[in-house]
Amino acid sequence: MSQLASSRRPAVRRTARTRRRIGRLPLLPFIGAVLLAVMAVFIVVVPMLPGFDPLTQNLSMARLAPFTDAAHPLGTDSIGRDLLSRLAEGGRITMSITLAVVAINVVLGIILGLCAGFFGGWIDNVIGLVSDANLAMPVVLLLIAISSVTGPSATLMIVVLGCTFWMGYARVARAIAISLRGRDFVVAPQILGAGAAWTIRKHILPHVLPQMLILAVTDIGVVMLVQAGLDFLGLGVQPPSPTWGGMILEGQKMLRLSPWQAIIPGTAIFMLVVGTQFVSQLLTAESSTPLRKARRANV
Amino acid sequence: MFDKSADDGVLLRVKNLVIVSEGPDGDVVIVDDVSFEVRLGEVLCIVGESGSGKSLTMLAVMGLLPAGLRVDSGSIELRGRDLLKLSENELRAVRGREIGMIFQDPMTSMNPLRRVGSQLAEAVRLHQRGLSRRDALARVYELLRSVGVPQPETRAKAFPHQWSGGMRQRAMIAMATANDPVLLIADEPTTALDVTIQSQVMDSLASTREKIGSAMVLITHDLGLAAENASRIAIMYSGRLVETGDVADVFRQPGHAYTKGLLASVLTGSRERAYAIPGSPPSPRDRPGGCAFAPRCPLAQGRTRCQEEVPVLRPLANGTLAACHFAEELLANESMLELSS
Amino acid sequence: MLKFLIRRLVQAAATVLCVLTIAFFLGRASGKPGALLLTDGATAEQIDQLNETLGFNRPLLAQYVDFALGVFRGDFGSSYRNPSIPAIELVAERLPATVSLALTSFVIGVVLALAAALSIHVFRSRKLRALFIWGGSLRQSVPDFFFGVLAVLVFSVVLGALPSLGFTGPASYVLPVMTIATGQFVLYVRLLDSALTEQSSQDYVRTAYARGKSHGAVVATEMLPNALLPVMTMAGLNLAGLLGGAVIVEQVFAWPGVGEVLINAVSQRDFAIVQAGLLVVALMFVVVNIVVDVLYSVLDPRVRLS
Repeated sequence: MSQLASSRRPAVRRTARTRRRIGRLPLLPFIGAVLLAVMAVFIVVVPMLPGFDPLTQNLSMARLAPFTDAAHPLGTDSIGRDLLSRLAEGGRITMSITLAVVAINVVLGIILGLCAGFFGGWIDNVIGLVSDANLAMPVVLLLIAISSVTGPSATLMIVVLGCTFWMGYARVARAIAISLRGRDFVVAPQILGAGAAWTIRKHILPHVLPQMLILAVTDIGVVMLVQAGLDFLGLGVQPPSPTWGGMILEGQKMLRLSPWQAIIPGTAIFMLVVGTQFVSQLLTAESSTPLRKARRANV
Repeated sequence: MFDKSADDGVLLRVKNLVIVSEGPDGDVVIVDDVSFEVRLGEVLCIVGESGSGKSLTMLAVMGLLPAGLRVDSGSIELRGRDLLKLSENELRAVRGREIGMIFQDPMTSMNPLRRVGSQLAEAVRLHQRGLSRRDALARVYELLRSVGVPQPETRAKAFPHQWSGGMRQRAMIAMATANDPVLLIADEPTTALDVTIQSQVMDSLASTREKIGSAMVLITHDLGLAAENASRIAIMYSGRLVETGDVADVFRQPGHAYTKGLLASVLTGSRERAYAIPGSPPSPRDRPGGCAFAPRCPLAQGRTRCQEEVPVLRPLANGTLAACHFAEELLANESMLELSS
Repeated sequence: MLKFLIRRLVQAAATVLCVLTIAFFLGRASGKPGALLLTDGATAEQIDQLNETLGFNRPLLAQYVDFALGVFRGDFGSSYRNPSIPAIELVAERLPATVSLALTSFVIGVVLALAAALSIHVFRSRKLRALFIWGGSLRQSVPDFFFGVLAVLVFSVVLGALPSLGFTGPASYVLPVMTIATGQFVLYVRLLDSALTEQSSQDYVRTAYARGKSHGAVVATEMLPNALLPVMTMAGLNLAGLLGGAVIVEQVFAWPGVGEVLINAVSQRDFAIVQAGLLVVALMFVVVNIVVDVLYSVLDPRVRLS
């Protein structure tokens, strides 16, 4: 009878599913990782090359197109500065600020999130309130307001951005802390007299850190976009220090004569943001869904 | 083996239905080789624990399996026409017209943003295209009145959240029967309701069904409900049909140890405690080879045949069909459960 | 309904008052602006004189009360640089340009995303979803200002088809609107797609199919209205943010909006103008939120307005 045949049917049937993979890595995250690695090497290696000079002006060599002069592989800008050097130096500055901003937010988010989750009660309420207020405040306007009083500066931008993206980290850290709060390995040391700080550091933080790392990779791209925009508005790093956003601002004025001045740094930003997006796609795909939800709500 | 002499009297014939869930590491068989039939005008009760595949089987009949599930093989014939071979458009003409379905939870089964009357009128107009809005509404009032909703003209203008659960389920009955279907499917229609109104709603369903003379498949885990309403009963366990037959036969002398356990767990009689079948049903992924009930079955202990060969439904002396290699022992030994527990 | 509106208006007033207070103390915290406004050669007396004229030598609380009362009469103080011009006037005359740009971009972005999300669900196509979400994400990876610069390069410099700077007619809208709308597109596609996906597994959707309704009709008339409710709240917040945050795009296209005034105010340290700008943005934020709330309660019968 047909049922006899079915008795040999395994409960789970494997179906062939092909996914493009390179080694064990899916294709897109692999491309992302390569993009990020190339950018990092570029930023580190170029300053070591002979002829690295992002600042010296040379009007006789102004507006050299890319790939036409061996001494200036990416050409020069409207006042004759070497674009390869400026791209690397601008990348170094932009990346350092982005990483600093992300680091500040991660630390702030973890501390506030863990406190809110671990202690609960009014501490949780106050931190929630601050977080909501922070979400409602557009960064650009906040920076405009403060800059109009103190004058724009890179430090100010770092401080303001440093207080702008922590809510996502705090939300996830809080959720994890709440889920662990009642577990034996968290409660037991407290009964034995361990302090809250020790318990959090020893037993909750290790669960939080990996998730924070995943969020941080995604945020690198987001922060870079915002920061480049602020540099473009002149609210961030001040000239003559090059930044990618600032270079696009300079390039915009020269669009008709030397469009590469804007295109080169713009492409660099694009590659870096896409790189972090691709990499974070892998990380979030392999982490739990609550995190994905938290992330979606954050963006 | 189901084949009676001809098609006479058979409304719905489900044959060797296999439903699989598409997972990341392959398909998992959820409903495994289920066959049964529903005759014109009769009430068939499908009984089983949650997860036994009883709802999914009937959703497959409607062509409404949730995303990620699909019919892998088998056929579902309504009056000789295989529903699985119909196009989406042809199937739409069947849903709500030939088959009406009532769902478990009346709280979530209606669109919260649309007035109850408008959702009911839509059910009418979808299958009676020429009907004007006014005539459709008149039909809605008539339907609501017949299922026991007082003042239908004013209530129809309200939104679902303004209706009580019992009233909402009555409205769902009205919706399912709006076009006098030949088959009604009621998926645990009273489970989500207050105990006090369950019987009222069930009465309303039964009388409406009688009035339009349709057959009904009543899905439930409540054997009492089955005994009151059904003429035939089908028991499902872990995605398979384990026993089917006339209600009277099955209740008098079950031919499957699972059925027997189910009956014992309800018909407490003079016992101090209700009987509970030891263990719990396997998830489809871990369904054992052979008989799915074997690990919990007193008959199967130490028998390799139960572990290796899936039993098929076969007619027994008690008048039912049961899928058990050793059903005769169960029939012979009335006190089987007491011995094992 | 009336009660609800009054409660929302009180909340709105509180929000505005809060922003107003922060703005005021932020400005005063930086010290008296006299020194900043005069040239380097100015004497201490001149500076003090200017602070006196602008009223910065009075007690802080008195200044605050004056400021707050002024705001309620629509008087936001005068520009530091041009004491003859009220700050609010400078902002207000630029407001229509900003609002029209933000609204147009918002509407076009939402309509595009709606079309994309609906097509994903009507055709039940994973390929379409991947196309729209990946395409939109790639676009989002290009900073708006760089996208704007590229758009100017292609459509104005190379093709000469569209005006690039300032406002010279309806055609001026094309590039900035395209920049903002495409940048916002993927945000709304994601929101709508996940809301529609959530609705698609709801019981009432199954009931609608069981009535014999077609898939397209179910998506459009059953799922979509329910999916729009949560998206509307997010979209409202986003529109409010857009009204204040389109500064960068305005700058790229030299759009004669509030952004330009604010950026100039930064370089001139004219906090009075920024203050007026902040209050106007806060007001718009509050108005948009009230509109969303009212819309929500009109569309969702479950929300009681009492």
